[in-house]
Amino acid sequence: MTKQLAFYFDSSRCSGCKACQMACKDKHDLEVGLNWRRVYEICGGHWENQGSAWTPHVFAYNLSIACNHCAKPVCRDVCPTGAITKRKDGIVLIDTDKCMGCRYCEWACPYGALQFDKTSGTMTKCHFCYDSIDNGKPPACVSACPQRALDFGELSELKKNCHGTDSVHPLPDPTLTEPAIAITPHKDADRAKKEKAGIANRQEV
Amino acid sequence: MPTGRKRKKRGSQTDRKSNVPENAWSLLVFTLLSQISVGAFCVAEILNFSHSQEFGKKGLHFFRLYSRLFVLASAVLAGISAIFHLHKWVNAYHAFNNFRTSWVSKEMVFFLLFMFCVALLASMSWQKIDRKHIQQVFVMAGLLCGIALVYSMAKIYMLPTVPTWDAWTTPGLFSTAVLILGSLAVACMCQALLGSTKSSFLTEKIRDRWSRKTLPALVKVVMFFLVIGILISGFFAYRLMTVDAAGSGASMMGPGKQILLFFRIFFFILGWIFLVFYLKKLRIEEDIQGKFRGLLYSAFIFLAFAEISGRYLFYVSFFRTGL
Repeated sequence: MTKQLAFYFDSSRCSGCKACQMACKDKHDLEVGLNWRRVYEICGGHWENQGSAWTPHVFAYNLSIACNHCAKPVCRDVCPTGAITKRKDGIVLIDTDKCMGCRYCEWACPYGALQFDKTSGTMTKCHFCYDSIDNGKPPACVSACPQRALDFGELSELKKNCHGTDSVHPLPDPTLTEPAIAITPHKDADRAKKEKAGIANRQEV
Repeated sequence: MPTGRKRKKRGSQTDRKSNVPENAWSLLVFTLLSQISVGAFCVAEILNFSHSQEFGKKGLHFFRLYSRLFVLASAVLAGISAIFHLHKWVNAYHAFNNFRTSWVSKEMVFFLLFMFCVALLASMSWQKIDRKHIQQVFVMAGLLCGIALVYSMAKIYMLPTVPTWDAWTTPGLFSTAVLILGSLAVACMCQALLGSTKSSFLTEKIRDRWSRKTLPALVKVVMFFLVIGILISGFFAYRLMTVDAAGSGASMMGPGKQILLFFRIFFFILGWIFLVFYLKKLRIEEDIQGKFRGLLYSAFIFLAFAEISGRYLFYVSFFRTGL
């Protein structure tokens, strides 16, 4: 069986501190507007009025998402230049020397992983800190998480050991790209799906 | 305390999810001109084949030459405008690398092959090389590449992650644009030749033939596909109203899109009215001097506006599913 590296994310542990996002930006010196890892805040629910008392029935949870290094990377399939490739360990990389900046992969990726760098005129995305991986170290985001909500490893083992899923609201249908991610959902994730809860920090991510 | 420093604008989610693509004008010019060139090539070569006897040797030569030069010029302009869409155009030569899975690569390959066929045919006409079999082979190759080009162009937008575009209406909109603008471009070219003082090669017989049969037939083809185009636009608008792309149940047919749809239908109807007047004029008196050309040119401009507003409506309806 071929190897597929993947991220693990425990949504029930995440406090939304965004240390992972900042560690990624810091390590890769990303410009303003470029966020290879993003923390989405999903909020929903309502307040119930009983006389003069208000009872909250609200919920909120976070999803820390980067490139999922999908098993069926739609970005690689649509890229005309062949700049996007998948390594033997499953990491999806962009060769900026080939990218012509047509931004077509940006349309195709349902996770918003591909981001355009105005300075270089090419697409960029999370590359799993392959330099660290090759030296036996974890990616910057995993190292930075104070809650240990982020981890990485072989996808099949992560799914087996952590009972992770790749289908959590508001992530897209996983059959589109077969993302290499294992998520332990927050307790309110099902409710959020039923109530079609939205992303509260849309402008930020 | 406010520092007075201006904050750099952040790349918001709307940049990535629901906006018109950057440099949309270059995409628009590329799509429209390449569709006009493919449509005009198909229609002109069908006319070349079916009317070769009636056009006469001289008439046929000039019709071929002008139609092929027009198609080539449109295709070259389309190619140039496509470059402006790229942010790192020095890497554009890599665009053919992923022919196996990428529809953009396929589009580029078929576009270049189509241009090659048209350039070869135009140079053969220019040099007066009348090798019938070679011409037929390249005409067939050009037709196939042109059809493949339009199909690839539509497939580029039919992404499973963009539910508003991933439907039969996308190839429907693209092929009606090819047939409407292509047929009308050839009709305008015939009309321009009729009106030109330098077209002494057109005999009375050819002028009469074009005025009585060729031009009305072309205009009727355009009017037929106009009806199809209006119907497909309606289906597209209906899809925008019903598809739950955002997953929130909200309609994708906001006021801005309604205005663009209105402009598209309005210009379609205006073009239709001008074509009806043109046909009526042709029925009353034959137009061997091309004096009714204003009506036909106006119809072309209105229908080009209809396609431009339709294409903008298409772009603004972009909505990627997921995050």
